[in-house]
Amino acid sequence: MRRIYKIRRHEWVLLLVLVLECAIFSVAGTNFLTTANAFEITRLGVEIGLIALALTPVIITGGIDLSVGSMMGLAAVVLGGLWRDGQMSIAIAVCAALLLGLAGGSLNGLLVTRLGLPPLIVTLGTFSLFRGIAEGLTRGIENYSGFPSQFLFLGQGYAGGVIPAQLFILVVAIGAFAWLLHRTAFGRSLYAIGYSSEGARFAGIPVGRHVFIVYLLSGLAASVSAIIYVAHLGQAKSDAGSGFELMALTAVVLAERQSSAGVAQSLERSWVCLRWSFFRMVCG
Amino acid sequence: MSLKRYKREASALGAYLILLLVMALIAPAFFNPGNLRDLAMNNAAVMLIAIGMTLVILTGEIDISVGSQFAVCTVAAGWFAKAGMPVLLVLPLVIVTGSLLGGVGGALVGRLRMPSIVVTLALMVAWRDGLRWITEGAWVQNLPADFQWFGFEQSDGQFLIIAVTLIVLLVSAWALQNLNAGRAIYAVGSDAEAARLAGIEKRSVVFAVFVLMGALVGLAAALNAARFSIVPSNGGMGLELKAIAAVVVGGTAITGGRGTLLGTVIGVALLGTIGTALTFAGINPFWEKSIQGAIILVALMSEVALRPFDRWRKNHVNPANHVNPVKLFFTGFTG
Amino acid sequence: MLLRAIDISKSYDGVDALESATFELRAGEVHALVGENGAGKTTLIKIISGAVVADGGSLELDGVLISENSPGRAKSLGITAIYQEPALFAELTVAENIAFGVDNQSLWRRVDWTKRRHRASELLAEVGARIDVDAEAGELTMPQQQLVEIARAIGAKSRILIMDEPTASLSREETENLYRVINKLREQGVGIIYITHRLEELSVIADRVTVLRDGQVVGTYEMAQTNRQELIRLMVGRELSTIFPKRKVERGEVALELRGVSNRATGLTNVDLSVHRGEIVGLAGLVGAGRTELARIIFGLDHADGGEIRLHGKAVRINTPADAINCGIAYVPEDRRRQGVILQMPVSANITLASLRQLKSLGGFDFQLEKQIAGDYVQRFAIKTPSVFSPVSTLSGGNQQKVALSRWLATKPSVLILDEPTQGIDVGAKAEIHSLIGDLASEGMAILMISSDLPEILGMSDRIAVMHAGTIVGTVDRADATQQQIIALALGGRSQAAA
Repeated sequence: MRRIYKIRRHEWVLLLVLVLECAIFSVAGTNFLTTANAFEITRLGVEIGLIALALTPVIITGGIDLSVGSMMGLAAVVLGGLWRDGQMSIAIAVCAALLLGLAGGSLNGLLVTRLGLPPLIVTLGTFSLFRGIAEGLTRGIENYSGFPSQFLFLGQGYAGGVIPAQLFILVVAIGAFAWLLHRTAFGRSLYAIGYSSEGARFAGIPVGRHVFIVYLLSGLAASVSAIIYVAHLGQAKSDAGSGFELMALTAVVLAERQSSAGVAQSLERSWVCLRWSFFRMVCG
Repeated sequence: MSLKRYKREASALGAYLILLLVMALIAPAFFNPGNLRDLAMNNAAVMLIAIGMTLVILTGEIDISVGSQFAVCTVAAGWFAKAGMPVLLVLPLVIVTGSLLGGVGGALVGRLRMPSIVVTLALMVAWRDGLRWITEGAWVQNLPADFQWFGFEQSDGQFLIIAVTLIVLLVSAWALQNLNAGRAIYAVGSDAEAARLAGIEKRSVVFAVFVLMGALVGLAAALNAARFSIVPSNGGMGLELKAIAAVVVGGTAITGGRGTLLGTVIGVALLGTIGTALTFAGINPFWEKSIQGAIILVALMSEVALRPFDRWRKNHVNPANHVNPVKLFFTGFTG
Repeated sequence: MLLRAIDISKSYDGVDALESATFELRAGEVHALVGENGAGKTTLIKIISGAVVADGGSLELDGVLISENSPGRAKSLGITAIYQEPALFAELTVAENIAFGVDNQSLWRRVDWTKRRHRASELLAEVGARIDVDAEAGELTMPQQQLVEIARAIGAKSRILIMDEPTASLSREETENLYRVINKLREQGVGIIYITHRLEELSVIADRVTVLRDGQVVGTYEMAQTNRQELIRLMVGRELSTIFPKRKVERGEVALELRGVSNRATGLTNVDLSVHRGEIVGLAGLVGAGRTELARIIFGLDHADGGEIRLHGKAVRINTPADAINCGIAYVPEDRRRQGVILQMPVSANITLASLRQLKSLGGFDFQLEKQIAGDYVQRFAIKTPSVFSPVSTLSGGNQQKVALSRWLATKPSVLILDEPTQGIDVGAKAEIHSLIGDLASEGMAILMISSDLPEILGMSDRIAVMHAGTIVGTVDRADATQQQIIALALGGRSQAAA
């Protein structure tokens, strides 16, 4: 069991780099290094981090999902629209957003598993489609806001007055994905499929079904991330999650290179996402 | 050449003609020369890049760093002009810059034997981050007067851009069809092993194609930058995905070996026209992306329907496994 | 003398594929190569065509040594091989495919499409093929593709043409046409190496024949001086070793029964077969007879169009491998590296891959149990590996096969299908695996063993079913079976009294 806690050299290096970056920017920047600031950065990191986590199983099976950022946008506007214009309770709107994520994920999943289409292009298509529907519905400008404070707590609140609320969600998600990928038969089968889908099939693994589930999860994660994002910003627009897919993808793909230890891998992915949010804050 | 071979291009063309027909019926103002010229201007860059992307995809690879390359080349164009280079020299210099960037990608894909999507993903990040670090987000301003439209009148400049694009398109299409080098691209994408037996090394072809892609990106960037008087530092966002979409809609197979530039032209035209068509038809133009996405998905699904029954491909390459960075990364396995 | 292969040796993974093989080819002759599956024919032609590098020996063309053979080199020397798997560019036209084999132009030359099409038409006419030169190669039928490849070889002015089972999937008319082409080539002085299992065609087409057995050349004979019977004897005649430890086991009730199983796509027709508990049924036949295709249907990888499968007397529907596993059927496939194991994963993960359900525990996954199960099998089967966590790719072929076997035994099946279980494995490991299989049978498992290794089948099986062209042409009891009889059935003869 020692394996779980063993953080390898790579993670120390990354941690060091992170600290260094903090140091450099705090010297070069103005009001950079305060605890408050540090935690604010993690907020954005959570949203990207969730997506990166969900992308991991997809990439493990040898696929890819470019549509996650766009699904965020779509889920966000559906959430906002149902709540404000549809007069539904926030709870129902949230559920609708989650269902939407599942629906989008299943579209990707079906096209990839049933029709055997290449995931790169399928998700390129849904990348346009989801964002497009979001923009179409809102004419690109509609901005839903004025959400109830309990909802906003998800994205803006502090647990214990200091730690951002969504960090808990990320921690739980990291735990859940790490558990799924490394401590379940399902996770094991994903690796098998990634190494050799033929070999996996001969071992009795239902390749189509498992790959479908993986895309389903990806869509769901995108909608969860959208909910947090909306709560964080206090507004829902069609451009939610723009560019997130490439950031998350980079985090996943580049992180894979460096480490292979189970949970540490998921942790590391979060490090990388945090770094990304650094850059966005600093340079954006 | 039998028509049967061009089913995909024909369907794409059919869709485009239907679109034009609908426009002619409900909004003939669409065809007014000013609008057509604007369309051409806005899509010239995508067209050039899509040409290069077609070649890359034909070899069975992919390059998602072109958007970032475009941004770098755009800024380079501004810098060269500001540094006092005569305008006529700026163009070739930017092309060379692009070729160098492309060469890096080509060398890495060939040498490293890593999936091109991973390599170009890393390059995409590297080029854009590097650019952002150097420019600190600032746009290039105070350019010499003869930068915009190459010092010509606006209408002459526009004509030049369209003409160059057309020439490049025609030359590329001819070369792809009629030069051995062009046929080598198809061979390598169809079956790298068989190509090797015929004396064609995939690595060299891929390198050359990436360099060519880079050159085209440079050309597109320079032509596009000349439309304005200041140069942005964050250009080319989403350009790679636009190019790939156009290539795929035009009937080129993502697995390589099959496709034409004619199809790509139709793809660029079809996808690039949607937005304007919607506006002219009085429909909320924000539906543009969703329609484009739908077109891509439909094109893919019809690809399945039209794909000739591969009698011998028993071990058919599973497209789901086409993108697979995982295999090369997982050195150790943990439970 | 056109070509001489002298003292060629090649071994894979410690197993000798070819041992001091010597072979000659004259100009203008059709020289046939015969032998059982695995006798070394494919290895020999791959060495001649440059696809594989020999460990020892040399090749001479026109008396001149060929140093460092490679596919490119062989092509430039005029050696062309046509395998059963076509080597055409599927997306390109026939004319262009032919051009690739024939032209050797620099990249910057302009393509003369008219000349290409014209030349392609001429070459195709020479081989008597009525194929549209503008057709896409991927849309042609197998015989058509074959003809295109031959046309290409002619265009490339090949001096040596190697053909691997060219008539395997041809109709009578197409075969006649092919013979015509071969004769024409022969008259032009081309040397042809012709591999075939259809011994009856040798007298029609071949001048000489060389028999390979277990990687060695048995002899080279003039066709006129030998006959089919004699060739069979030479192909198989060997001492039946007594090392197979099959004990006498009481056979139990029927575990697996196939009635009238058919599958149009793969050519299976009306297969009736039964396997009892404690019994080992050997399934013999040539490559392409349908054995693996049958196994795939039993295991749920393909669907049967007709017939039924019964397990322990009950009819079952098997649509996926998971269904088969749930019914207690296990299948160890022939392609060990791509299907039998997953090379990059460790031994332990491979062993448990088909029985992951057993490892479910509260925390999700019981790693301790996995390690223990893996350790048990490693010990029981004497799998040589540094640790249970080593990737399977680091193991030798024999040990990889043991891992594959362990994986399936961990599912506790009642029916075990083995497809070429000892192919490419050294003698020592072979014996171990045979012993294991024998033990499994004594413990009551019903075993269906597909094998092309005649001594293995004769030594291990209680009954031998022989397949030919998609159906079972005969079943022989162990007591009555002889090698000649099996191979005669496999080659298409009807069930007859022992020769």
